[in-house]
Amino acid sequence: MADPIFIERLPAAGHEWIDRDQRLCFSFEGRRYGAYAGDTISSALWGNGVRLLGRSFKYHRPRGVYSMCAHDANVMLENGETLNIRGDTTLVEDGMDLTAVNTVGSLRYDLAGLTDRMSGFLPVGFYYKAFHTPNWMFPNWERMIRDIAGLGKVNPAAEWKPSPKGYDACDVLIVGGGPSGMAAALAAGRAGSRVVLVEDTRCLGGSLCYAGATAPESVATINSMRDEIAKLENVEVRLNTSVRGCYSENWLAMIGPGGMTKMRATAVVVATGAYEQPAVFRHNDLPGVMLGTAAQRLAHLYRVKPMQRALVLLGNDYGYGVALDLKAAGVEVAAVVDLRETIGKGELVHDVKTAGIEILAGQCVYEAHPAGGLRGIKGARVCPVNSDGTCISTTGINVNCDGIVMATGWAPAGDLIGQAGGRLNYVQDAAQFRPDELPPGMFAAGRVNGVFGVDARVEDGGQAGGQAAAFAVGKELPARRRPTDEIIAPSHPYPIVKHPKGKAFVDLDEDVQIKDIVNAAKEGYDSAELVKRYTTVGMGPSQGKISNLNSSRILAKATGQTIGAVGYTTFRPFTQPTTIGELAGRRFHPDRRTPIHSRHQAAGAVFMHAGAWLRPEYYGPRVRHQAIVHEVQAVRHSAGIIDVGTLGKIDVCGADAAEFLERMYTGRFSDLTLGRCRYALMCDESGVVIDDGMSARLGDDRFYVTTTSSGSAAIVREMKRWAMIWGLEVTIIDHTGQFGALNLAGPESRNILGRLTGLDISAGGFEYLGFREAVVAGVNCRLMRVGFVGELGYELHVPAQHAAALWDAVIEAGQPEGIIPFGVEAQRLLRMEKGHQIIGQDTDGLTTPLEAGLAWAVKMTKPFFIGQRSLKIVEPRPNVRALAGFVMHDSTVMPSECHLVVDGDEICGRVTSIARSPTLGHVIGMAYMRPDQTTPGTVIDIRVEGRLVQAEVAKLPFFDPSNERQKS
Amino acid sequence: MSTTAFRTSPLHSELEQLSPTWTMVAGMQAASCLGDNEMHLLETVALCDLSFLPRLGLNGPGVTGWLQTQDIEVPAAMYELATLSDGSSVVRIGTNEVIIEGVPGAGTIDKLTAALATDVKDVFNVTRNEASLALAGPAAADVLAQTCSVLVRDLLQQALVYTRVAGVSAAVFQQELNGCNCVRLVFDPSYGIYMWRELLKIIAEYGGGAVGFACLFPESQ
Repeated sequence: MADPIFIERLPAAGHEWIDRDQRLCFSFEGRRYGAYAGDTISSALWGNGVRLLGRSFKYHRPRGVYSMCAHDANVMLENGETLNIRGDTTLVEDGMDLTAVNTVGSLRYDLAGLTDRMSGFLPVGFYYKAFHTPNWMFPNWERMIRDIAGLGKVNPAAEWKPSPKGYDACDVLIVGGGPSGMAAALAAGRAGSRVVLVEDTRCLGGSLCYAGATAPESVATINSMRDEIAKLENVEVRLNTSVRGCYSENWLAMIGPGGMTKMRATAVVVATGAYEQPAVFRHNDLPGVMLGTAAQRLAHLYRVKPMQRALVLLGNDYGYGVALDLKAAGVEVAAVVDLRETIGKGELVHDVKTAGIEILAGQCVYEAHPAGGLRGIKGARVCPVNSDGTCISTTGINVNCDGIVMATGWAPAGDLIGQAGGRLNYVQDAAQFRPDELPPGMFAAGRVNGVFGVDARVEDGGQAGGQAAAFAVGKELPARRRPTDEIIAPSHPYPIVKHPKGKAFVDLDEDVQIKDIVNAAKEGYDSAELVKRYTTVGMGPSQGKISNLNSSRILAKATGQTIGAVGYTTFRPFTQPTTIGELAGRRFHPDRRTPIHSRHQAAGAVFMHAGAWLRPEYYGPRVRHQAIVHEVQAVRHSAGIIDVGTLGKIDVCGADAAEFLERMYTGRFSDLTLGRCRYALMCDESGVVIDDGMSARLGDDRFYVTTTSSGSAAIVREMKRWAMIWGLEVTIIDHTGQFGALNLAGPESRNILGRLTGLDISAGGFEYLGFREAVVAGVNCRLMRVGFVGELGYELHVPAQHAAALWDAVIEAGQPEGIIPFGVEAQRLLRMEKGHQIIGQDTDGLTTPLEAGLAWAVKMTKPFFIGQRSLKIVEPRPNVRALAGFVMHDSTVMPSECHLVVDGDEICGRVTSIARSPTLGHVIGMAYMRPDQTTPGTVIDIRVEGRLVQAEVAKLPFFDPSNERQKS
Repeated sequence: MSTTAFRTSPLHSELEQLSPTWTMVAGMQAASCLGDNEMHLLETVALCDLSFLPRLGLNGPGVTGWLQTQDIEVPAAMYELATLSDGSSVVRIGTNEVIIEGVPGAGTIDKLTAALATDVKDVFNVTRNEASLALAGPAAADVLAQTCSVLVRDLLQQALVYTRVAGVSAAVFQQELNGCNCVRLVFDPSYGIYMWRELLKIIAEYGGGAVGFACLFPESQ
């Protein structure tokens, strides 16, 4: 294996971020490279002379380092498991194997690069206008575009690594660890606030970490402030952590090495700095063209020589410092091109002149000259520029260089301010937006606040921190004044040069050019929001950090508006790309188990989810169908036991308990005697069936009510709500989770139960629909004689901690009869044989009791019950549909639930339940149909996958129509 | 009527897999010890099943008055926890709703349950079979911060908070047990196994684990 490519760096410096004692090796596009610990992927590759780091989204143009801080999306990589790794900010790890995303073939020979040559056929918004005809081609276009679009390939087999999420709270959250952020932290910390200072890079200092000649005292300043912060125990520093979103009342989402922190801050200081903005000219996107701060980061933090020979294009004095830094890094500075007619007289300008670097004032870069294959640049054309920004392209000079470094201005990193509802206004003199109105509890400091000098930023941060600390304790805010700032007009108002041949890129993520924005305005998309959506400017992974301002400038010029009037688009979370995994966290999905769960596991249950509950669907080792048949037959011929602990279980107590139930349910309960239970049907106010269960009387002022498993939480809520509204003297006690329950059913169930209790459970002693409280197997039980499955049966409800012991006792007692547990599927089949409806299965969101064959459970003559008024309105009208049973003797083609009942072209209803009955030997089911079709013997048509099958309407119940078995 | 059957913790099947030493406490087979060196887990974070602690719920307009007749003074403020002379605790969770948690051997719950056997006007027995866990150790606050928006440092002493822990509604309060500052979690037992597993996953990342109840109730072994 060949040795990894490794080019040595510039001489060591105290402020570098690399550890030269640790060498790493990684692969990129099949080649091995060396790196130092502390290198990012971009710094390591650029340092090893690799200039082609990625391809653009639309035109697949070659791209290299641009911002060196992921404010662009040029360097996006994948490693077979993780997608869209940001090369500028991701540290190299030993053994990494990386490829660039968004290539067809390879990065070097990307076949999709042909789209760049076809760009004339792919103008702005072309996809809104193309691909419509011929119609039949559209699916092919769609498939092709989906294949080409998108960044990275998901590996479905990649191991899921949970990303923790946690909560925290503080008095003052400071976002940004530059000089203003550190000053704010010191001020707030000294005032006694609990402060959390968040910095998204690996150390405090912000732009001072790489300021070089632009701030010669930066290292000393950073070190001093860091030392002071370390002394304050109430100031916590979190590095490598970024605030991704600001939500209402200062709830902020932060992502760091430990996952997401959901932070609630009483006050927030936004000291997020500013995004350096590029100039726009032809081929301004090619490898070798980069921002001034990118060159500074490479040179100072990673000790990488950014290029061999540079042209520095600038619109502010900061750029002169960049030129000096390049020279100090051994770069030959061919010239400084100053967009301004009159250059400054500051120290940096003087030092550049002293260094013998040529300054071309009142000039611009008209175009960069690409090297072979567009994989770099070999020079640039420099032309005079008028004061209105137009370029005099007929005169100019060509300059040889392999790098163009741009320092033309800034835009505030005010995303969080915008998300919090703050406003930014355009300040003409500064040629940039600045925070204007901030929501209460939010304060801005430093470059984001339009303050650029180092001392001014420190002063501004101190003031913001003091105000934040006061706000956090409800004190009056100290006065604040704008610091005297030695930096004036740090941004050029229009660093944009049109070119007749185009390829002057405003948004590198989306390959949006100047002409795209101009053409969009001409087509009527003349506001910032419309231009964004039509051209996609600002919609890429960078979310407009280095494109929105220039876009607004171009749009303003094209439409004759001021930039302030054009404004900016809405800021929304997240400030940086955030993975779905980080948002999902540990994926808490609570599931519920009955207290008898372990017994089901031991018995070989195959579980199913019923809402949040895990319930036995059937019991092994038989396969599903055989197991269900076996369980059904056991219940019909001997005895079975099912865990019904998921049912809602509610005690309704108090002097008005009976009245309360009268109002909540359709039936009568005031006349329910002690020791009896009754079917309870509940409707909503529109008369639609919403739940059912049983209600038993425990005493004069106490009832025990069951609900469906899925409805219990909602019914408890509704009961409490109505109790409050009606002002009745009633107490609702939810015992759903506190009780377990089991149902013992089958002709032998009496014999089995009789061995476990002294209660008289003879036919006369414990009649059908009776209710008793007794000790069974040493456990206090509530017993109901109910027959959901159509057999002699007893439902036993016990405190949860005793349920497992009771289950064991019943199973043991039933051994002579061959008792077995039966699951949900067997129960559903058994109840259907008995013609019993399941609410939510055989009813839907519009079903009234009158349609579902439950009119018998509705006592319309009561003074009031929920839904009565609506039912009184519909009762006189003929039903549109009715629920009925049906059988199929020929079950070659068996319908499924929801298959339609039809009569010619008319849809009459649908199948709600259907199964092959082992008891009856044929298919049975229930369906809604026209009322005139419900006469037993009527043949109905059911549409199954385009063909019609016949079924015969049958009287319900299918099994034991005289109810002898369940009432025995 | 009296119950003679044993109680089973909702975490029983999970504890079984940890080869516990079982001890009968308050009618429940509880895990008193889960390993020889389990005490060291309290130096990071430990999870303990306390579902054996007997609990009684009372609801109704007559609750406060009736408990006074039983020499139990219910705090007037909602969610305020009071400790009784025998170590049991009482908390008001509604205008007319109270929970009493006993300690093993104190007999308070049995006494009150027996007194309720005769119908007491406007006092209704609420079965309280919740799952009950304790998180102990310096990292307990961090574990809780990953599952719950209530921060331990904001938990008032002697006060209950109802919130969601790992997506499950739970009562959370601080309690000192055997000299350890614990965070107690009490919730619907049907979520017991889910909560136990989720918390242990997080706890394991801190080097902690499950411990038997003897670490917190040494006198009940």
